[in-house]
Amino acid sequence: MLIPFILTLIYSAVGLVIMALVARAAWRRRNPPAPADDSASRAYAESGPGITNRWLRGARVLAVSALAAVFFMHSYWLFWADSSKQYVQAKRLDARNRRLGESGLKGWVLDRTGKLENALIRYRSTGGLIARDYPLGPAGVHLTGYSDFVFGAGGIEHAYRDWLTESASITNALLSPIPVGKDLKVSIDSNLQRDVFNLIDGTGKPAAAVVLLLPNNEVLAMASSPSFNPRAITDEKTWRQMSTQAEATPTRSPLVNRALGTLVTGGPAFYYRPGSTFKTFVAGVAIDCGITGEKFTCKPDGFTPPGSARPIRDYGGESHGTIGLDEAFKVSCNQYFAQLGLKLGRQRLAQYAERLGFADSPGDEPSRSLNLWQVLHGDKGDFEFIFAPPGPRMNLSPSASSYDLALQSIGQGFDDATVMSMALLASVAASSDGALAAPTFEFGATRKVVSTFITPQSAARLRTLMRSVVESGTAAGAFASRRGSVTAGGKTGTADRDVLVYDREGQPLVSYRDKDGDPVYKTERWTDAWFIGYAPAENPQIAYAVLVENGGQGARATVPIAVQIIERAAARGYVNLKH
Amino acid sequence: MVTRTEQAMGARTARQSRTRPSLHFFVIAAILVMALIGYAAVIWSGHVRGYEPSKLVAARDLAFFVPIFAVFLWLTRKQRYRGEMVLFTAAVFLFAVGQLAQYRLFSDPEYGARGSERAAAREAKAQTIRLLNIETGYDDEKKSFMFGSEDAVPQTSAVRLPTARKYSLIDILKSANTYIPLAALFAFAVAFKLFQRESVLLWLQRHALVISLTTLFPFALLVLVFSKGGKFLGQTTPWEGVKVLFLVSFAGMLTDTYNHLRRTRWGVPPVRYLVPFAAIAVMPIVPFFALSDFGQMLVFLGVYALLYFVAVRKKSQVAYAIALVAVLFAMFFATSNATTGFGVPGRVHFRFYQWLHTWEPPPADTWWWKKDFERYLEIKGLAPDPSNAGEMRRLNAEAWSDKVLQPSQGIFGVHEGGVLGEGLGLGFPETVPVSDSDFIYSAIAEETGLAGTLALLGTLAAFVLAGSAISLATTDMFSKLLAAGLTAFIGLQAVVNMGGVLRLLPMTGITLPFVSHGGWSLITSFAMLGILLALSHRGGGQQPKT
Repeated sequence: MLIPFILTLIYSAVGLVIMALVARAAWRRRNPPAPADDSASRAYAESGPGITNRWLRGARVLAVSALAAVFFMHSYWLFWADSSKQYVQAKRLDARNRRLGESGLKGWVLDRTGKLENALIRYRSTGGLIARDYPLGPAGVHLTGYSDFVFGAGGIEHAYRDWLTESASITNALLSPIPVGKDLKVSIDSNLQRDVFNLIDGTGKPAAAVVLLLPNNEVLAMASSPSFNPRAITDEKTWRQMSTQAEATPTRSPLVNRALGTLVTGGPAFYYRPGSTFKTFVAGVAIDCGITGEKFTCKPDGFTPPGSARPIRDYGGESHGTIGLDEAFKVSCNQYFAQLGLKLGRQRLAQYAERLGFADSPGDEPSRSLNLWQVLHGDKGDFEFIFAPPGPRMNLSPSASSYDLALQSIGQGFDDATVMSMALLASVAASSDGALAAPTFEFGATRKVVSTFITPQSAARLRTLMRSVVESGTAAGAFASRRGSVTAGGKTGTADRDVLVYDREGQPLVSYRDKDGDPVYKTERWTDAWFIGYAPAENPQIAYAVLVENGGQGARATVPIAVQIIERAAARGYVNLKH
Repeated sequence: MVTRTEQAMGARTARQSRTRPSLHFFVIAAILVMALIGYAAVIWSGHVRGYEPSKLVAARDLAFFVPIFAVFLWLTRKQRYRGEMVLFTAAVFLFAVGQLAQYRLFSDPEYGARGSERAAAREAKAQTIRLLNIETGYDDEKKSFMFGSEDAVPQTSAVRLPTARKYSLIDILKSANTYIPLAALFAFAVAFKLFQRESVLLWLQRHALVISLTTLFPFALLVLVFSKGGKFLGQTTPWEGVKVLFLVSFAGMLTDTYNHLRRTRWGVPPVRYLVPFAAIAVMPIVPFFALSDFGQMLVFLGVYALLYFVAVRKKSQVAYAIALVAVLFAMFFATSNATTGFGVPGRVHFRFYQWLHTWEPPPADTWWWKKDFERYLEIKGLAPDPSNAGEMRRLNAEAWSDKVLQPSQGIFGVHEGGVLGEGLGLGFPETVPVSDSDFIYSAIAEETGLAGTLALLGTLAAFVLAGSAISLATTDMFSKLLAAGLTAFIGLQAVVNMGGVLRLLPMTGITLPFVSHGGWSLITSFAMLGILLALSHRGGGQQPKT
């Protein structure tokens, strides 16, 4: 690399010297003397050829200017082409990129243990061929992404592209035409990641889970199902089908990272209703505002907010009678929290929602929660394009009625959240200072507080509520068999939403056509199951959020998964369950 | 007739200092050294990049300097050449640069290979670089993780791919690339011997019309009957040589009539001279038009116009010509949105559109583009739903970027090259289709950068300066026009070629003289050089005739 390049420099230098010698010789004799013979000279000047020489000199100037124009055009492509957007866009399709990509070795992506056998992305040698390998396969594809010369890259491969291709060693850069890139150490534990993926994938339903390591909010695992193999991209037809589906019906697409609500290719996908897990937020606000002594009555025919005709009922038409906050949180009483939310009022809710990064008046398009993540290496813009989840949002503007407000207090209605944002809510409750720390995918990040949600005392009080859910509340059943070994705090959730029904070809089924002939699509009601929380109950070390789409009641589908996640995390030393 | 004594006298007196053979001998030797360094660089980078350039071919290329020196000595000693030597040296320089660029390209197994063979070559090269990277860039821990132990890393030499073809000495002797440069040097010598004779020049001038007509008919026959897609059997263009004959006959006819064409009324020459003249002048254009060789047409028209203006020397006629060209262009662009070309082939429209909007696909139903787009879909086996606008737009953009692959890859190469270049053998000119001929400029620009191409451009400028100095020095109109025409032909061809690559002009598919790979084109260029040197050798030794 270095030697042929130096030889080339000598080659060009000798070429320039030769050019200078030849050009000098040509320049010095550019105007030959007139013919020596006098009589010939006069005839020569007056008749044709002599005057023709003037025109010839003009033509010569033209020819040399044309060569100069070639030189300037060449310089244009060297120095100014980059300022043309069209050029930069076209350059992405340069066939050289493929050669560079195939020939270079990007950095490896190692998990937090730093062991090569646990790498998330590495190179493998099979039969003399060196190929980039994703050992986690579908279990980690939403994290690792994929990389292809035609279809581009996603996940970490895209988000940290600059870092992974930056030259790692000077000697190598001098010797190799395309040097080796830098390794990246991420906060993920690849074994835990595989375990968590297998757990949620085992439900057979679309599902997602996030595990955060406290107190720095490092992402230990982030899984999403359904998933796909990173090698799918090598098959053009499959990939085209998948990306078309992701565009048309994202709710069914394996390209969606359900933990973040983003597409693995970059860009936002969709939100979930957080359901009753959102009561953690409302309870936190109430505690921090000192409104904990309220008792509300819950009737069998539900609570009807003022100015509304529709009642808010509890799950299965239960009635909890007149209860206080502790009891209401434990049994997840909708009517209580609807009334509590109205009592707190939209201003208080908005004030606290903002601290957690919720937008309080939703737009049509999801905004991204930018500047939240800690990015130590690589390009922040690339990272946010891939990984920044859609910002969670509520509607606390004056346009929302008191019914809307009551619904949002129980995690329905206008509440839009992602699994990650709910995991962050759990991490705030689990933190000793009641503050939101910036999450990160990178190993070695420190605790970076973004905002303080509630006081440390309020957080401790919130944790006693969440602990009661696990010990004697809605999640107690699944934890019963582990009593004494696993301690945790949490909140279950069950969220309703209407989803389109699709036929076998992936087309949405039309229920009927309205009077303009526009289709009204058939929908069915899905009940998403949630569980968010932390472990262990004292001095929490991890926070988690688990979601199973259409999983039925929260406690049944998700809490057993959370229990196993805690145990696997304990087995790997992230949770200390022994007291 | 100029006698030998007169020649010798002339050499002793007026033009004693015209040529210093020693300087040119030294410069040609420097070119040999430069080529030697270049070949070493290419062979070295080949080893880094995963292929083995043939040393035998390199030796063959360098051995061309033997006949070159022989011709040089023949010129200076045997022929006692006393004309302008800069042209010869410049041509040798351009030839050497071109030979190296071709050597680099044809050594690359990916270049010129097709389909799966090409992909296999590309992958094999990539694997070598990866292994090299592991050798020099990975620590022992990673090496033993990947290969079991740190010593088990396969040696790059073990997987290195030899050139797509192994050349034996017999292959080289049989190769056209061996005898074409020799034939070119021979053509140079023959042209030099012929054109220094007064009788030959006089005969050519007197029989200009006959030459033109007798050349035209076999040429037209060859083109119309035997050519396929602009190429003769075996991808050659044997009609390259007729360029010289057309140029000679045009110069001859112009010498006969330019005094009549000067007598203008309202700036227009007499019709009874202009019309037959224009008709004959335009004739050679027709077969080139039939061949769709618009580059050659453009160069011919440019050179003819230049000779005409230089001989006739009427500003009014230049103004008229510029106005005419402007009107033609205005008409051309005014009709560019129409559904037909009004006789202008779709290819011309395509070239102009591509020149102005390289990376902006035309609407899928544009008349000159529709067929190509449909062919693209057919080859790819795609049958998109025409009502799906987004899908159609995407496919249209894909088809277009496939269509403009060559020019855009060429420009990316120029951009990648930067000021100093990627290094010989270290760029990716193999990604530019046919970069050994039409796009050789981008291959040189990518690997030697602006510095290397500046040497190329400067040498071309020296060639033009020296060629026009020959024209200035001649005293008869025929020699003057012939020298100017040949110089302009080579200069304009170079500008049209390089301008096409750099989007200064529309792309026309024409070779870079002396540099590009091409049999008949190289032979013709050297023959032209021979004529120029012959005219220079004659110098002012002849009385003005008109």
